[in-house]
Amino acid sequence: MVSPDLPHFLAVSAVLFSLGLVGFIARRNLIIMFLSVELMVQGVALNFVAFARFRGNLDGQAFVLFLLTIAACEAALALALILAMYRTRSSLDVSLWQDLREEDLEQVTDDEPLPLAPATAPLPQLPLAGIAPAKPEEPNRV
Amino acid sequence: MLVGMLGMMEAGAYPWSWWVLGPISLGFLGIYLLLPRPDGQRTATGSLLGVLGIAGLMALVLGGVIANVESLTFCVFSGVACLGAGFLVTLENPARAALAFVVVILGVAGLFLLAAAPFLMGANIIVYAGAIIVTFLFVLMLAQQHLPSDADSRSREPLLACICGAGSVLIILLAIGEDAGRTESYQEGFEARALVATRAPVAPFRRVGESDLRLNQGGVPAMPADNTAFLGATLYGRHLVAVELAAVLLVVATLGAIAVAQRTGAGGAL
Amino acid sequence: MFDVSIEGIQTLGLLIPALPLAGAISCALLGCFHFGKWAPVAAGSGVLGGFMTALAVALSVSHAHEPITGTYGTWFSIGNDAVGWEFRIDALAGAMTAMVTFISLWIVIFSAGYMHDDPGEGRYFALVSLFVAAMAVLILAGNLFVLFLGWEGVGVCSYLLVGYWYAKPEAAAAARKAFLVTRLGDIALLGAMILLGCHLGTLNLAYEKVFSSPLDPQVVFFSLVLLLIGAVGKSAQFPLHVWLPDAMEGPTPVSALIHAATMVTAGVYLLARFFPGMTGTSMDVPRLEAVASVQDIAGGLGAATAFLAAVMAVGQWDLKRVLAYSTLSQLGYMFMALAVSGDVRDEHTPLEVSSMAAFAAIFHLLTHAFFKALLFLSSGSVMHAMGHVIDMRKFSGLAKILPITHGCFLIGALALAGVPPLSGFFSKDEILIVLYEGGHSDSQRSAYFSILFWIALFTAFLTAYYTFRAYFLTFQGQLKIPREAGDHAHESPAVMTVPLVVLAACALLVGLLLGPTGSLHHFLEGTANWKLHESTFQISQPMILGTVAALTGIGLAWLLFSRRDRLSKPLGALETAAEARLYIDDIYLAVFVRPLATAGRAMGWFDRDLFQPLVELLATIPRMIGGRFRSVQNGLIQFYALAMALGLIVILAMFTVAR
Repeated sequence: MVSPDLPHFLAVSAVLFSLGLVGFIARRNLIIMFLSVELMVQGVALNFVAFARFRGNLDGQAFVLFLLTIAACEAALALALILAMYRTRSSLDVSLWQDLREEDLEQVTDDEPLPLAPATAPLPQLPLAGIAPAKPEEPNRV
Repeated sequence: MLVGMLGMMEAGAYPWSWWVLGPISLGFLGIYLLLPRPDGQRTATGSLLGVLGIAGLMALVLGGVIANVESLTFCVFSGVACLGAGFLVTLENPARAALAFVVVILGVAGLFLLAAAPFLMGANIIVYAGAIIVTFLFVLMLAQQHLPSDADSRSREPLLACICGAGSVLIILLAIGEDAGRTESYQEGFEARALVATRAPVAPFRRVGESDLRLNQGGVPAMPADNTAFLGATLYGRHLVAVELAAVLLVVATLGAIAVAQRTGAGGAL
Repeated sequence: MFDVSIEGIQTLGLLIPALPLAGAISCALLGCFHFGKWAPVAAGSGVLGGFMTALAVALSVSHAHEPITGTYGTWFSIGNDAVGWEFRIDALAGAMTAMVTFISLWIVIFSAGYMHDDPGEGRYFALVSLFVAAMAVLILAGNLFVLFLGWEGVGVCSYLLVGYWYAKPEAAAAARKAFLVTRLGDIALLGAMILLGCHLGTLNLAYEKVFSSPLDPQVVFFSLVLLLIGAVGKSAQFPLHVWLPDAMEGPTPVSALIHAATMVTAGVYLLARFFPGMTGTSMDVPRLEAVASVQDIAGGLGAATAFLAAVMAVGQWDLKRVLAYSTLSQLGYMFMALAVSGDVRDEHTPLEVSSMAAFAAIFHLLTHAFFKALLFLSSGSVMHAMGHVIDMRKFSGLAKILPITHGCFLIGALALAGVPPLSGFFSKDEILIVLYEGGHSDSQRSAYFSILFWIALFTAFLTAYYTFRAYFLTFQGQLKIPREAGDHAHESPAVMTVPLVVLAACALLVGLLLGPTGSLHHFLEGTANWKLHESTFQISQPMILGTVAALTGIGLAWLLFSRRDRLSKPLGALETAAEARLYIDDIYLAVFVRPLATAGRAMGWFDRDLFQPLVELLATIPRMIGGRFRSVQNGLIQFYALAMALGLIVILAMFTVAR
């Protein structure tokens, strides 16, 4: 083999798609779930482009453009919906939305305790003079 | 040492070979360990296993052949994309996950370039990395949460999800392999049939009766940038109605997003 | 008279139902958009157009001795057979449509006053127009399928109009009863179509084809019996007469139009078409015998209905019901007339005899339509003034406050009683003469026809008696007005009295113009399959007998009701029984309705208490299995996604791995 062939592209797109699937099923943050969907879309887009390349026409690429359009629409709507949902429950946890279960079923709850939050750093206090304040490790993740 | 994929296809043992099953299971085991859970992630083991998995797959895909520039770049881009995807799925902090998605976009964009789609590469980066991710970050800021939270520090059924993902990859590879086993190689098949010049930097597309655009003497468009011209011709020729419909869809989605995101009680439509 | 080309007649024939149909559609649309008050105009113009075209057709077909067939396309086709939109336009159809549309026109005008300010005006006028269209289709039909369409169309309109005030439980029950009882007749008609279709081997049941086919006498007999049952159902003859008196729950103009003047005569029309037609021009004796036996049955039923209905009318207190029973009775006359069958006698062929009988029936049908519509509209006018009270015990002496209605009702009553020279006299005497002649021929049936004649004569006496009983109770004596009328009991507005006057003029003159002059006779000679001899009007024995019977009846009513205590029952037990409708409805209730209801309850018990537990036992199995998997539905979207993905993988694996 001299250069990557169609199966190689398809294999990569399969990996991307499946990772997106895992993310969508396993992660509970609405935004990460949505990112996972976008990851799956990327896998599909790669598939299209690869086929366009090896079929020798541009219809696949045109399709990817439409895919981009749809993804943009989807992102706009989904983010709007996520915002609306966040407003009602003040959380991005998808597990809070389980009202459509069978009537007599208990709500699925998490019983394992969450780890303690890392202690927030105390506000910096300037020493009287001279010594530079000890720089605390950045506690704030983004 | 590693057997090439095509060789395995010919051997007929391709899908059930440990060379396939191994990296896939390793990779998804890594993902499983890395998925957030309340008692802490197995970061070190998981990362190791994940990287091993990706490397194994890479080796499998490239088949251990002598590296030339094209296959090396393919390797790099697909590795970046897969790594980014792994991060996206496993990182606890959603903002970091969004940044991991940018990495995925960049990797995929590179792959687009390799697949002779320079315009799409640009479009992908601009639309995704430029626009969509920024929107994501905005929303994240609006809906800020402090770690650890139920949403970020727990996973739903990580084991089943990983089995599911592994099964999906396996099935797709299996299908690819079966299909590829029937023809010796896509490129060679097409070249043999002389359908199109697949080696061209731009896949040619010409409308019947239209004079050729900037072709070199071999009848092949000279510059990669011509891809855009041909893509434009395809879009506004064959897919014109779809383009118009997509425009309508965008407008509707915009209106819908505005309507949905409006605060209720403030006299909103919804 | 008119000289219109055949194509012109065909087009005009199509317009007769089309224009009222257009009126119906526009009424319905107007009703939808709350312009109901304009509906009378739309319905009136549609029906007026129908009348004009019907008149033009009637005048232009009179000289054509061949029926004009118009085919307006194919309705449906099964296999090689196609059933077309065929009309058959001849003198009989022309006369009938002209009469129907004429009376409908005046009834629509009357309704404009009567139904004024009713919230459902649009619906009412749409249904009336639709009824006119369906009736025209029924009359003009050229094959049995189109006839059936019209037949069912008028049935549906009748149902909807009887139940027009559907919120009233009696009206809803009456509509249901009318629909179900006439349904028996409709099934018989369908059976006749199936029988004829099977024996002709084609679905193309054009009249011409049926008449000219060499059918087996037995087939002729049974198909005619089925047609007769159909006619009995539609024309409310004994024993299917029970629906008509109840149908008076509808608005009075509807009673006048549908349940007196037009729809109920459809049965007579059908038989008048088929008895002479089936006799055919042949002298095939078994076939003649088959037709004659059916005619005997028709005559028997007609005589029974005429007599029983007249008796029942004697004891009714509800003005409209008296009129309803008189309608039954008069329809019985028409059936009796149709019974006179064609034994070969003297120089007349059988066809001439049965044609003469059919002519008598149709003549009475036409005159009856005028004076019965008049009587009903007059009673509607009375109801209008009396605040929708119709019980004759609650009002009397209305001649003073309703002079026009009084005059019109009197003319109608005299016509119904058969007093010369009003229209009822001529047509009823035509029937009496036919029966009398039948009784005095040398045929084997002469004794039977004699009996029919005497029944008819006695019924004529009863008719005069109950009609004038109703007249004296309503219009003569002390003025008495029910409370419901309030203090505004007054003559109806002009939009209601003008139709009364017009119809009264018709009731007065139509018989004189059509009967003794022989003009209707001459006109109907053009009807295909009919063979009429020139007739001359002369004073005969049955005529004198009929007049005497009528005058006796009027005299008796005058004796009993003009002076004495008004609420007495001078005839005693007979009136009590008559008021209870001779207990026929009760017998039906006891013999058919109650046992069926009991059987239904038994079935219900079986179903509820025996089978349902069994079924429920079976149903527990899936419920148990389902219960196991209920917990899967936990409302978490990620579980659903997981299940979907796993399922997808399994399916894909089936396609790839396990291939």
